[in-house]
Amino acid sequence: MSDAQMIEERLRGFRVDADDADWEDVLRRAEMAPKRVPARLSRRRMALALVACIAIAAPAIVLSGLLNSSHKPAASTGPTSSGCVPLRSRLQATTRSGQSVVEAVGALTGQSKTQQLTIYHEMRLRTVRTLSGKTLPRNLSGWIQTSPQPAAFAADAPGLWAPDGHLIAILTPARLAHTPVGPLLSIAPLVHGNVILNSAACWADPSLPTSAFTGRLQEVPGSNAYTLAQRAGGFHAYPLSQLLRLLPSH
Amino acid sequence: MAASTEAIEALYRSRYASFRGGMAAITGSYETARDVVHEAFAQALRDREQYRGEGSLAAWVWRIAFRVALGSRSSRRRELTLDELVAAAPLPSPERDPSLAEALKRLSPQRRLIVFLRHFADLSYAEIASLCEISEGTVAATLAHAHADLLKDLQREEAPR
Repeated sequence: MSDAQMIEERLRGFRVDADDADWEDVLRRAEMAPKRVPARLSRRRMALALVACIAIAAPAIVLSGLLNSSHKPAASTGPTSSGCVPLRSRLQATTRSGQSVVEAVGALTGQSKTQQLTIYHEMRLRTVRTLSGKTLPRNLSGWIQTSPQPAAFAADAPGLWAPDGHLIAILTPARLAHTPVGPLLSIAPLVHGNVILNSAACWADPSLPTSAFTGRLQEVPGSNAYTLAQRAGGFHAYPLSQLLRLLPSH
Repeated sequence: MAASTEAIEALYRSRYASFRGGMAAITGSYETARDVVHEAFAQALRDREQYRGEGSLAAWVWRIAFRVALGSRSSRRRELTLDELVAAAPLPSPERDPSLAEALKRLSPQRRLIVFLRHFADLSYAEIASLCEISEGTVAATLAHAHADLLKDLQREEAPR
């Protein structure tokens, strides 16, 4: 046994296997009524469901691992994907999803609303130019969502914007965002005609040819988004003119 | 792109042990870990409309679980960061291998987290890379460094005196 195997073996010694999964407890916590299962059949059905889950999940997990390890994009100067759907795919799906992509100048109004575990920060957008999707008014308000705790991962952090307020945003209408506050904004900084790609709010795509960017950016106060994005691949400039070609209407 | 209740349930049923193992390493107790995992999946169900397909469903629920764990360990006065949470992770059942438990405590938070995710949560290199927003190469290198650190510590601790 090699040293590495010995360490792995000893680490496994801390593990405790226990069959204490209880989906109905999860449903109760979520205040969702558990499905009623006839008592006499429940154990058998559970066993069958478990077998089915393992049969479906095991190959899927193996496949997903294989795909993840073998399906790497070509070498690129772009940001790391950070577990996000690549920006190119996100942008392509916007119109189909009822979203609009806009260029604007934004500023936080200082208003925020808390609902369950989400805090919504209001941002006022002016000189809005609709780049794709439904045409939006020149002035509008949207909301940036954060969690009460500072994000642990860049992908969970709210997006950043330029020191002078310039940004590009994907706007999800309130009826599609399922929030009572209003339309949701996913934003990225726009600096001197370049969109600054980074992992905060998943504005990243390793397949795009970009150049490194260093400079100040604005973040939702207390969100730690700048530091997280810097750690998770840093900042990369991509010309807005090129990004327009990725939008569905172009 | 919301997550369906069925997809979240399938994830729970297929990966419960992995979530529980990972959270146990961080909370120091399998009982607390079960509570954290159940609360995380309940939050995932409540917030399923907010899943936008940015990353895998598993990574999304893992992040919720980390937030729940952070919330359960933070005091009213001060919120912990993930690094602080991992640095202070008490590790379940240290009596099973006290030397190794001590050596684990001396690892840097990042190395500890990756060791926990690999050996307690049974995540693949690709899953860890996605969750921690680092490359698979960095995962492999970090684990190799962590194993080397642990080995060095154990050899020093366990050397005959």
